[in-house]
Order: sequence, then structure tokens, then C-alpha cells
Amino acid sequence: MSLRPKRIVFDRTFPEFKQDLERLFNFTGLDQVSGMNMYQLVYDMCTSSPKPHTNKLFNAIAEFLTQYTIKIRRSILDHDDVVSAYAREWEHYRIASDVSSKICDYLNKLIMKEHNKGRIGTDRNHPVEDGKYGRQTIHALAYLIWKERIIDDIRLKHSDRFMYQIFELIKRDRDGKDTVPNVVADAINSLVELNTLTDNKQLHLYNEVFEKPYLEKTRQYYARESAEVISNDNISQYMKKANERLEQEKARNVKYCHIDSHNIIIRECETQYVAVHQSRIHGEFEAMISNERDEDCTMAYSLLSRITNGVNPLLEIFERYISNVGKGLIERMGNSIAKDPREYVESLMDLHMKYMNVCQKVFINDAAFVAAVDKAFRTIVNDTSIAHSPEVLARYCDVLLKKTHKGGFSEQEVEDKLDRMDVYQKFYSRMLAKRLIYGNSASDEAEGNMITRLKIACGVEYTSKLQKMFTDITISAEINNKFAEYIKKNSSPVDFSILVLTAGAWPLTQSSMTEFQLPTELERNVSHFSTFYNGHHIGRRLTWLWHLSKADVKLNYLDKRYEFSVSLHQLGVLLLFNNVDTYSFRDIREHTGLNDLELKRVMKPMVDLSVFLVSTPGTLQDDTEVKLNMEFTNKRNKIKISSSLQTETHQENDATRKSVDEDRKLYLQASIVRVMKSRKSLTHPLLVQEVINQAKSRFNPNMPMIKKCIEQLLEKQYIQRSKDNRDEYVYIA
Amino acid sequence: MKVKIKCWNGVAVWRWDVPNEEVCGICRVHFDGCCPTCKTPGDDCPLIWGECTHVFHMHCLLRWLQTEGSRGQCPMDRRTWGNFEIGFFF
Repeated sequence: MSLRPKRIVFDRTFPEFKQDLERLFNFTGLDQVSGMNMYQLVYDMCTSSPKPHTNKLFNAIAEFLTQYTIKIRRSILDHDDVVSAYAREWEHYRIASDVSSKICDYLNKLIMKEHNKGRIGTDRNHPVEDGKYGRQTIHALAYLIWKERIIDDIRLKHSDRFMYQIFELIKRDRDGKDTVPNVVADAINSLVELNTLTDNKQLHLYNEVFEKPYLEKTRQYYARESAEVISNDNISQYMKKANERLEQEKARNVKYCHIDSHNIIIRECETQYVAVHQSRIHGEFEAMISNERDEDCTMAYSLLSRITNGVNPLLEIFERYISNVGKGLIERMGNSIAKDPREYVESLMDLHMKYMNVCQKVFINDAAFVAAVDKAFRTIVNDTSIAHSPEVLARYCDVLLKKTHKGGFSEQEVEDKLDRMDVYQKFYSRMLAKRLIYGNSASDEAEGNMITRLKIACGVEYTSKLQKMFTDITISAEINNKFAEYIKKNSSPVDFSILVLTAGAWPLTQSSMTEFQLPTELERNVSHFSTFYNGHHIGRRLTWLWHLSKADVKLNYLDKRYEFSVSLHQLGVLLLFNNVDTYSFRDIREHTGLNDLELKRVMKPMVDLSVFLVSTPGTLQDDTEVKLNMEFTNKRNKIKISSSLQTETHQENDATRKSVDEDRKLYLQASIVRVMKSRKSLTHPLLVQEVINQAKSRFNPNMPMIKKCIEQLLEKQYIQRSKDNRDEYVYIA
Repeated sequence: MKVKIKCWNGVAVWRWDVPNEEVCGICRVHFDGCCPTCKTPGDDCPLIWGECTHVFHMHCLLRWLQTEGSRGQCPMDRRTWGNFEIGFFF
């Protein structure tokens, strides 16, 4: 052995080398093959003097491989089972070409050296001198030849028997008749591996030869099957099948497909199984929800979420369904809502809980579905056709917070979804005012909690007035203490306490105030307090709200000692009877100074209780005789007569609604002016847009109202129409 | 006496003792409302009476008096401002 160049006769040396090569590739007589010897031969041929046989050797090896692969192809095609034969031969070839390439290491180096120098005519596409194939390692050369002689030839000249058989095997697997033998995976892998050395475009061969036709076959297979299944089975079976198929395909992918095509193939299955028939699933979805077929729902969701925009129709259906259920619920309750707000709120809350659970269980807490539930409830709650939910809700809070009802404070989730928070606020503050004045709220703590909640939900401004009401109550307590000390010096006939409220902060409509002749018994109190108050607060004017005041009285004219809790108006009536037993209705009215309507209202509970006997039962007329009932009896000693007066009257409700409307107009005008002041000039649509944005947190303003407000502002000359553009407004400073 | 009053509970509202419909000469807002910097009317935003009998939101007037141009005068009649009596206590 020597490294010195020898004189080599190629035609004599090569056959020796070729013989070993043949043994290598045929896997026969391997014990006679000496790698060292072969390596030496390659070296000798490549270094022989005077002229090295490098190119000649390369071409000769190429020729050998071509002959060899043609032989192999024949033998493969001789088999019935082409795939197995192919896989077996490929395994041999793969190893042999790897080994022989190593043996030809020196040759590879020389060939590649020239190649890397980048001389013209030495790249891969230009064949090596006197040969067919471009410069590359023997390994790459072997793969290239295999591809050309076996893959391509079978494909083009032998009606693609190889791939056909592969697809047949896969089809049998899909039909569930056979499992795919490992050889298929080996064969497919060979397609990938062949490309690793031969070409720049990785996977090109695999994509062309396998993936494309495979996708086509997949499409055909599943298109047929899904059509069959959907026409024969019900939707739930169909979805089960689809799910199953997708899982199988995933497993199949892992088994014999290159990782790059996994997604493509799964997408194809999804298209065929889900996308094509998604309308059917959509169609059945409502039934699934209403019948609470949770499993089906989950399946539909998971299937449709695979395809783009697949879930959106589900969301719509889901939302529509919930809002219909909610509306149905409300319709069924109908008029009873006004009487008992509890049922309304609680059933809605149950519904909300239910579908939130559904979201969690069925739709894996998908944010889009949670949002859909929210949206649906927004529609339900803001549907004004039957119930004014802000009002009802406020009333519900009232029930909860009143002393009589000691229940846990339940979640007020629903209120977050109200669009018309201003209505709610109005009613809530009115009722809060009543609770505070009549002193019948359950606990300060609960009220405080409620306010905190509102503050979190709607902001500080929303609750500042409510807060102010609380401060007034506390301040009043202080005033009472001070007054009690003050009064000690000049003794007072009647026990007395007072609430002094700030006019601006309390939603007390003056409209329900009537004339009232204060009973003389109370006059001293009032004048005392007025002096006291004005002594402490200069520049304030007190207005007494008799209709909200109340008194406790003892009845001395009966056997039993009764105690009544009455409103001040009622007290006025009662006190009249201290001197006389019988009055006409007209007299009472004149003495108390109350108007007809109010007097009837305050008299009614007392007549109903038969504290008074009237000559014309049912109605009170001017000449009706009202007589004190000297035989009055009742089981209870303490009777609250005033409480029935505390319930809202119809007029009051209407007044509240109307005042909300007024407030909205002012709010809109203010925000229009605000917007215009900062923008100076703005077109109509933009202005409307801005105003809606500003008002959104409180209520949804409607277009006519906004237009009206703009008109009013035009009239008041806050803004004017632009001279150039009729559609544009200009702010007037 | 057939009926004897045990105790009674009065309710009254207070407002500033100024003529109805009167507005603050500085901010032009109702005295029942509050000055532009405040949120709630009442104790938090009191009024102030001057010796010259003019009335303003206290916040409005104090801000006015702090400006250079005011020279400590009432904005209505340019007489030197003097408090008549501060209309609040705590």
C-alpha cells in the first residue's frame, strides 16, 4: 500500500472494483469484500499518473448504478406486491449506497472540490466530462439514479403500479379491512429521503409523487363517505363519525406521512367532513341546545371550531336561542312582574347561571360563547315591550333591602347588562330615599354594599347623589342630638325627631306636595326647630315635607290601648276627632287643608280598617259622614297604617319615567355642547356618533331625541349650521 | 283627648335662602346647583353672602378674589368685598 501515484490501466482496475461493488449492492459474498481494498482502488484510480481517472471512475460508477437499478426495477415489477418488494430493495440500496459512498470518499472529495471551485461547467447541471450526471457525491448520485430509474420509470412507463398499490393499501386501512403494513411507511419515507441529497427543494419528490395524489384520494374518499353518512344517519352519529375519522387520520398521519403534510391532510378531511356539511350541523344546533344534548353540542363546537368561521353561526344561534328563551320567560310572567320583581330577577339570574355553566361545560369557556350569553341577556333585559327591567330591578333591590325581607344579598349580575342605567338609577334613588326616610332599610351595611357595587359598575358620578343621601341621614342624627339638648331648656310637649335633607341631592318631587294645615299640637315643635336650625345655619330655608312625615299615636277612647303608626296627613285627620265624633268629608278637607285626591288616599286605609265608619261605603263624597268607630277592634295592638301609603302611586312612577326623559335631554344637550366646544365644527353624523359614545354608559339615546336636542341648541344659538355645508354645525362661542 | 301623639318624625328639605331662579353671578349656575368644580350641591358647595348683599358660590367668589384683576372687590358692584356672614358651619 502506498500513497504514491501509480500508473493505472483503468479498464483493468475498474472491473475489480466493480465486482466488489456488485457484491455490496446484492448483499452477496460480503465476506469477500474488503473496504480497505476498495478504498485503495478508488485512491489509485483517482491519483494515477500520468492522467488521473477521476471522471472516468465517476461515470463508470454511474453506469454501474444505472444498470443495477434497471435490474432491480424489473425484479420489483415481477412481484405482485410491488410495495413490499420495493421496500425490501430500497432498504438494501440505501445501505449499500451509503457504504459505497464512504468507500469512494476520496473520489467524492475530488469531484466536489472542482464543483465547489465554481468553475464554469462544473456545477451539477453540467455533466461530468463524457458522462450524463453532474458533479455530486456518490451517495447523491445513487439516490438520483434510483429516483430516475425506479420511481420515475414505474410512474411513467408502468402505469404507476407502485403508488397505486400504496393508495389501495391505505384505502383498505380506511375501510377498516386491513391495517397498513409497515412497508408503506418505509416506501413513503424513501420518497422523503431520496430528496435529502438530490435537490435543493426538500420534499419535492414526496410532494409530487405522494402528497398530491394522496390529498386527491383523501378528498374523494371522504367526500363520498360524508355524503353517505349524513344522508343515512342522524346528526349526532354523523358528528361522532366525523370526530372518529379525524382522530384516525391523525394517527394515520403520524404513522406514514411526513410531518409537513399533517396539517394539509387534516384540513382536507375537515373540509370534506365538516365544512361541506356545516349547514346541517348549524341547522340542528338549536335543537341540540334546547334538548340539552350537551355531548352533541360539544362535538359540534369542536368540529366547527376547526374550520374558519365555522363557529360564528353557532354563536348566532346560541345567542338567539337564549334571548328567545329569556323573552319567553318574561312573557309568561307577564303582568305579575310589576307585582313581584323577585320572580323576574331570580328566574333571569337562574337562566344566566345555567347558560354560563353550559359555556363552561360545553364550550370549554370559549370567550366568544361567554360573550354571546352576555349579548343575549343584554337583549332580554333591555327588551322594553313587556317589562321595564331597570325599574323592576330597582324594585327588586328595594324588596331585598327592606327590613321585612331578610335574605342573603344575591348577585346583581344582571344589572351590569342594563343599557339604561339612568332609568335604574332614578328608580333606585327614589326607593332608597323612601327607605331612608321611613327608616325601613334592612341594614346600613347592605345599603353600603349595594352602593359600592354600583360604584364599581357605573363609576363615582353615578353614586355621588346616593352617597350624599346617606350623609344627610347621618347629619340629621347629629342635628337631632343637638336639638334635643337645646330643647331641654324650653320643654317640649311632644317627642320629636327630624330628618333635614339637602334639596338637590334627594329625588323628592315637589309635585306630590299638597297644602296641609299643621295640627296645632305640633306647631310648637316646628317653630322651635325652625329657630334652632336658623340659629345654626344662616342663609338656609327649610321646607317641611308633611307628606313624608309620620307619627305614632295612642288611642285612648277604646277599651284596649291601641297604638297607630300614621302619616302626618292621617294624624291631621285623626286629631280632628279629639273634639267631635262625626265629620262630613267636606269638613275634614277644610280643616286639614288637604286636597281631595290626597285626602281620599290617606283616609282609605283607615276606612278599610274601620277606624272610621262612613255613610257611603266605597266612595267618599263631599257630604259623606265620617264617624269615629267606637267599637273598633283588632287583634294587634300596634298597627301600621302609614305603610300602605309608602307604596308608589302610578303617577309617581310616571313622573319618575318622565323625569328620566327630561334628564336624558339635558344630558344629551350638555354632551353636544361639550363635543362642539372642543371640535368647533363637525358634520351631523360625526356629532351624533360622538354623542352616542358619550352617553353609552348611561343609556342608549335614540336618534329623534338627539335630533331634537340639536334643534333646540340651534334655536338657543349655541351652535349654528355651517354656511358652506348644510350638514355641518359650527360652535358659537 | 281621644288621640294622643306619642312622638312624630318630621321630614324637611333645606335650600339656600335666596330668591328662586336666582343664579350665581360668576358661574351663572343655579344656587340650588353647585359651582362648576363641585359634583354635589349642598354642604359641599356653600354660598357666600357679601356686605353688599350679593350672593355667590363660595368657591366661585374665592377664586375670583384670588385673581389679580379683582382687587378684592365684589364682581357685581366693585365695592370692597366683605363677608356678611359665612353661611355654613360644621
